[in-house]
Amino acid sequence: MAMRLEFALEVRVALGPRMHIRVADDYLRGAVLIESGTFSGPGLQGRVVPGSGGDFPLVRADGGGRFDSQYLLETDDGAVILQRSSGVRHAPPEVVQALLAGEQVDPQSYYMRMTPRFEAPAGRYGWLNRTLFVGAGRREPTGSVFRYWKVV
Amino acid sequence: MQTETTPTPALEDALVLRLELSPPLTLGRLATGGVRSLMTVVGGNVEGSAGSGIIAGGRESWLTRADGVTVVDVIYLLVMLDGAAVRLFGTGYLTEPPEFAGTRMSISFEVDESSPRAWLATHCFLGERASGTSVLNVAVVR
Repeated sequence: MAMRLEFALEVRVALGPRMHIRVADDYLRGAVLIESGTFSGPGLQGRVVPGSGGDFPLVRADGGGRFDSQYLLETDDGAVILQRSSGVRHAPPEVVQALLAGEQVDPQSYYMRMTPRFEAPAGRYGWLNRTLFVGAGRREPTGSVFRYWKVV
Repeated sequence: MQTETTPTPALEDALVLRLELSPPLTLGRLATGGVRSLMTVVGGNVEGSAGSGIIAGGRESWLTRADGVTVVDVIYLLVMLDGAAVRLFGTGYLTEPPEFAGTRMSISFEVDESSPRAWLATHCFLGERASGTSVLNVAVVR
């Protein structure tokens, strides 16, 4: 395996209220809209386009689950980039309960990893369209922080 | 900026898949962009920290855009030696030098939640297959 990870960017988002859709007793869809945010990394910085999307996780009975987010980034020089990310969160039940209660939790105490994908305009940001990324996240009382590494 | 507390991911070898694929079948150019090609998985085997087994089926679909990048989507069905079925799905890119010569993808698994392999469904994975080979190396993201 030749894959190495190189830090690419950090995204910070403020989250709206959490909603749930109980499709079936064993199938719970969550919905959290991303209200605003910023991102920055080498050669890449800007804001999250307000109201451009959210996270729509499948929530497990223990509060962990698989998340699936989609929203837009806008760079400082005006490029709009679609970000779609899927990932996993799992942790001991007491850690999940604290996270859901909005408490400050040590981010090393749970697994929150994701693989974001981007659709960016050709040119300066075209490399985002052919690069694999892996990320780690942490929940904070008012939002989330994601750090992404590109696979080189 | 408070960044020191976010964990830094690490990659750890997890599985090796040796795939037998059918010749590509090209569907043609899509009105939504790109040229779609498909391959069927006709066999293969898997080994690694999740156990050993065979590749019982699956398919790959490739979408080659005008920028030269091919978006690859795969689904494989693994049947392990103990009879358990495991579903692997991945999506990524086929690139050429000076970038990686081959396919890299993000990978997820579906498994029985009560099985000893339940950890496959609660982690993210990355896969890498060099051009000209049919060996997919899969690493777990720690």
